[in-house]
Amino acid sequence: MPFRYNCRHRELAKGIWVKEPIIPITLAGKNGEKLDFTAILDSGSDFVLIPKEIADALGVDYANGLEIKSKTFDGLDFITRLATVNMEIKKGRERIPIQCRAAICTNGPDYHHIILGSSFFEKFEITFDYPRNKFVIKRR
Amino acid sequence: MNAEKSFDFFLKADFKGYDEDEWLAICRSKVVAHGADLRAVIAESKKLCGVERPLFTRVSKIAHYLHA
Repeated sequence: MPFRYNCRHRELAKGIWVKEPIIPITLAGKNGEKLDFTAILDSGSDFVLIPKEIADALGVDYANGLEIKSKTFDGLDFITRLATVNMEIKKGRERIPIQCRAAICTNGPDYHHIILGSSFFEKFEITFDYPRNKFVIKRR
Repeated sequence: MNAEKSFDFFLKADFKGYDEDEWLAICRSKVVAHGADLRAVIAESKKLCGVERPLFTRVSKIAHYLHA
Protein backbone atom coordinates (compact mmCIF):
# COMPACT_ATOMS: atom_id res chain seq x y z
CA MET A 1 0.00 0.00 0.00
CA PRO A 2 1.46 3.41 -0.91
CA PHE A 3 2.10 5.89 1.86
CA ARG A 4 0.92 9.36 0.85
CA TYR A 5 2.35 12.50 2.42
CA ASN A 6 2.00 16.25 2.09
CA CYS A 7 5.02 18.54 1.93
CA ARG A 8 5.65 20.77 4.90
CA HIS A 9 5.54 24.49 4.10
CA ARG A 10 8.10 26.59 5.90
CA GLU A 11 8.37 30.38 5.70
CA LEU A 12 12.05 31.33 5.38
CA ALA A 13 11.40 35.07 5.16
CA LYS A 14 8.29 37.17 4.81
CA GLY A 15 6.44 35.75 1.81
CA ILE A 16 9.21 33.25 0.93
CA TRP A 17 7.94 29.72 1.40
CA VAL A 18 9.73 26.44 0.81
CA LYS A 19 8.33 22.93 0.60
CA GLU A 20 10.00 20.14 2.55
CA PRO A 21 9.46 16.39 1.98
CA ILE A 22 9.49 15.38 5.62
CA ILE A 23 8.10 12.17 7.10
CA PRO A 24 7.92 10.72 10.60
CA ILE A 25 10.12 7.69 11.17
CA THR A 26 10.62 5.40 14.12
CA LEU A 27 14.18 4.47 15.02
CA ALA A 28 14.88 1.45 17.20
CA GLY A 29 17.73 1.58 19.66
CA LYS A 30 20.09 -1.11 20.89
CA ASN A 31 17.96 -1.87 23.94
CA GLY A 32 14.72 -2.03 21.97
CA GLU A 33 13.71 1.53 22.76
CA LYS A 34 11.82 3.22 19.93
CA LEU A 35 11.87 6.95 19.29
CA ASP A 36 9.95 8.89 16.62
CA PHE A 37 11.74 11.64 14.69
CA THR A 38 11.08 13.80 11.68
CA ALA A 39 13.28 12.95 8.69
CA ILE A 40 13.74 14.68 5.35
CA LEU A 41 14.02 12.89 2.02
CA ASP A 42 17.15 13.76 0.03
CA SER A 43 18.00 11.54 -2.93
CA GLY A 44 21.29 13.42 -3.34
CA SER A 45 22.68 12.11 -0.07
CA ASP A 46 24.61 8.85 -0.21
CA PHE A 47 23.31 7.34 3.03
CA VAL A 48 20.78 7.88 5.73
CA LEU A 49 22.51 10.49 7.88
CA ILE A 50 21.80 10.52 11.59
CA PRO A 51 23.06 13.28 13.88
CA LYS A 52 25.33 12.02 16.67
CA GLU A 53 22.95 13.25 19.36
CA ILE A 54 20.20 11.00 18.07
CA ALA A 55 22.51 7.99 17.63
CA ASP A 56 23.80 8.43 21.18
CA ALA A 57 20.28 8.75 22.62
CA LEU A 58 19.34 5.49 20.93
CA GLY A 59 22.54 3.66 21.80
CA VAL A 60 23.40 3.04 18.15
CA ASP A 61 26.69 1.17 18.00
CA TYR A 62 28.81 3.18 15.57
CA ALA A 63 32.16 3.57 17.39
CA ASN A 64 33.73 0.70 15.42
CA GLY A 65 31.88 1.45 12.20
CA LEU A 66 33.74 2.12 8.98
CA GLU A 67 34.91 5.71 8.85
CA ILE A 68 33.77 7.59 5.76
CA LYS A 69 35.00 11.01 4.73
CA SER A 70 32.06 13.16 3.74
CA LYS A 71 31.38 16.58 2.34
CA THR A 72 28.34 18.79 2.38
CA PHE A 73 26.97 20.35 -0.78
CA ASP A 74 28.63 23.61 0.19
CA GLY A 75 32.02 21.94 0.63
CA LEU A 76 32.34 21.41 4.38
CA ASP A 77 34.34 18.26 5.21
CA PHE A 78 33.18 16.01 8.02
CA ILE A 79 33.56 12.44 9.25
CA THR A 80 30.86 9.81 9.56
CA ARG A 81 30.88 6.25 10.83
CA LEU A 82 28.65 3.62 9.29
CA ALA A 83 26.15 1.61 11.30
CA THR A 84 23.10 -0.49 10.58
CA VAL A 85 19.93 1.01 11.98
CA ASN A 86 16.48 -0.52 12.36
CA MET A 87 13.69 1.87 11.50
CA GLU A 88 10.11 1.83 10.35
CA ILE A 89 7.73 4.09 8.54
CA LYS A 90 4.05 3.86 9.26
CA LYS A 91 0.79 5.34 8.17
CA GLY A 92 -2.45 4.37 9.84
CA ARG A 93 -2.26 0.67 10.57
CA GLU A 94 0.37 -0.02 7.92
CA ARG A 95 3.98 -0.35 9.04
CA ILE A 96 7.08 -0.99 6.99
CA PRO A 97 10.08 -2.06 9.07
CA ILE A 98 13.42 -1.67 7.32
CA GLN A 99 17.08 -2.00 8.10
CA CYS A 100 19.23 0.73 6.62
CA ARG A 101 22.88 1.50 6.42
CA ALA A 102 23.28 4.84 8.13
CA ALA A 103 26.13 7.30 8.49
CA ILE A 104 26.48 8.78 11.93
CA CYS A 105 27.76 12.32 11.72
CA THR A 106 30.50 12.38 14.38
CA ASN A 107 32.07 15.80 13.93
CA GLY A 108 30.07 17.45 11.26
CA PRO A 109 27.44 19.95 10.45
CA ASP A 110 24.52 20.23 12.75
CA TYR A 111 21.69 18.90 10.63
CA HIS A 112 18.18 19.58 11.80
CA HIS A 113 16.53 16.46 10.53
CA ILE A 114 17.60 12.93 9.93
CA ILE A 115 18.41 12.80 6.23
CA LEU A 116 16.95 9.88 4.32
CA GLY A 117 19.43 9.42 1.50
CA SER A 118 20.21 6.78 -1.08
CA SER A 119 20.30 3.83 1.36
CA PHE A 120 16.65 4.62 2.17
CA PHE A 121 15.58 5.39 -1.40
CA GLU A 122 16.83 2.04 -2.72
CA LYS A 123 14.15 0.24 -0.69
CA PHE A 124 11.21 2.23 -2.08
CA GLU A 125 9.60 3.69 -5.14
CA ILE A 126 9.21 7.37 -4.29
CA THR A 127 7.20 9.77 -6.42
CA PHE A 128 7.20 13.53 -5.93
CA ASP A 129 4.39 15.82 -7.07
CA TYR A 130 5.56 19.19 -5.78
CA PRO A 131 2.97 21.30 -7.66
CA ARG A 132 0.32 19.42 -5.68
CA ASN A 133 2.44 19.39 -2.50
CA LYS A 134 2.43 15.62 -2.38
CA PHE A 135 4.79 12.68 -2.44
CA VAL A 136 4.18 8.96 -2.28
CA ILE A 137 6.38 6.22 -0.83
CA LYS A 138 5.74 2.68 -2.00
CA ARG A 139 7.68 -0.44 -1.04
CA ARG A 140 9.51 -2.14 -3.92
CA MET B 1 -3.51 7.80 16.79
CA ASN B 2 -0.95 9.89 18.61
CA ALA B 3 1.85 9.59 16.05
CA GLU B 4 -0.30 10.86 13.18
CA LYS B 5 -1.78 13.69 15.23
CA SER B 6 1.68 14.77 16.31
CA PHE B 7 2.92 14.73 12.73
CA ASP B 8 -0.11 16.67 11.48
CA PHE B 9 0.60 19.27 14.14
CA PHE B 10 4.27 19.39 13.03
CA LEU B 11 3.23 19.97 9.40
CA LYS B 12 1.06 22.97 10.30
CA ALA B 13 3.00 24.57 13.15
CA ASP B 14 5.53 27.36 12.52
CA PHE B 15 7.51 27.08 15.79
CA LYS B 16 8.38 30.78 15.60
CA GLY B 17 8.32 31.00 19.39
CA TYR B 18 11.22 28.58 19.72
CA ASP B 19 14.92 29.12 19.18
CA GLU B 20 16.86 27.91 16.15
CA ASP B 21 18.29 24.40 16.72
CA GLU B 22 16.08 23.65 19.72
CA TRP B 23 14.80 20.11 20.02
CA LEU B 24 11.04 19.84 20.38
CA ALA B 25 8.93 16.96 21.64
CA ILE B 26 5.40 16.97 20.21
CA CYS B 27 2.64 14.97 21.77
CA ARG B 28 -0.66 15.09 19.87
CA SER B 29 -1.23 18.78 19.18
CA LYS B 30 1.21 20.47 21.47
CA VAL B 31 4.89 20.85 22.21
CA VAL B 32 5.38 19.17 25.58
CA ALA B 33 9.12 19.72 26.00
CA HIS B 34 11.87 21.71 24.31
CA GLY B 35 15.51 22.54 24.79
CA ALA B 36 19.05 22.28 23.44
CA ASP B 37 19.79 18.87 24.97
CA LEU B 38 18.02 16.04 23.16
CA ARG B 39 18.41 13.55 26.03
CA ALA B 40 16.80 16.00 28.47
CA VAL B 41 13.94 16.68 26.05
CA ILE B 42 13.39 12.93 25.63
CA ALA B 43 13.36 12.38 29.41
CA GLU B 44 11.01 15.29 30.09
CA SER B 45 8.58 14.36 27.32
CA LYS B 46 8.39 10.74 28.49
CA LYS B 47 7.16 11.95 31.87
CA LEU B 48 4.53 14.15 30.25
CA CYS B 49 3.31 11.88 27.44
CA GLY B 50 2.80 8.72 29.48
CA VAL B 51 2.40 5.67 27.29
CA GLU B 52 2.24 7.69 24.07
CA ARG B 53 5.41 8.20 22.06
CA PRO B 54 6.28 11.83 21.33
CA LEU B 55 7.57 13.00 17.95
CA PHE B 56 10.95 14.70 18.12
CA THR B 57 12.02 17.40 15.71
CA ARG B 58 14.36 20.35 15.59
CA VAL B 59 13.59 24.00 14.96
CA SER B 60 14.96 25.32 11.70
CA LYS B 61 14.52 28.85 10.42
CA ILE B 62 17.28 28.98 7.84
CA ALA B 63 17.60 27.70 4.27
CA HIS B 64 19.12 24.25 3.82
CA TYR B 65 21.20 22.81 1.03
CA LEU B 66 21.64 19.18 1.86
CA HIS B 67 23.47 16.54 -0.16
CA ALA B 68 25.52 15.28 2.78
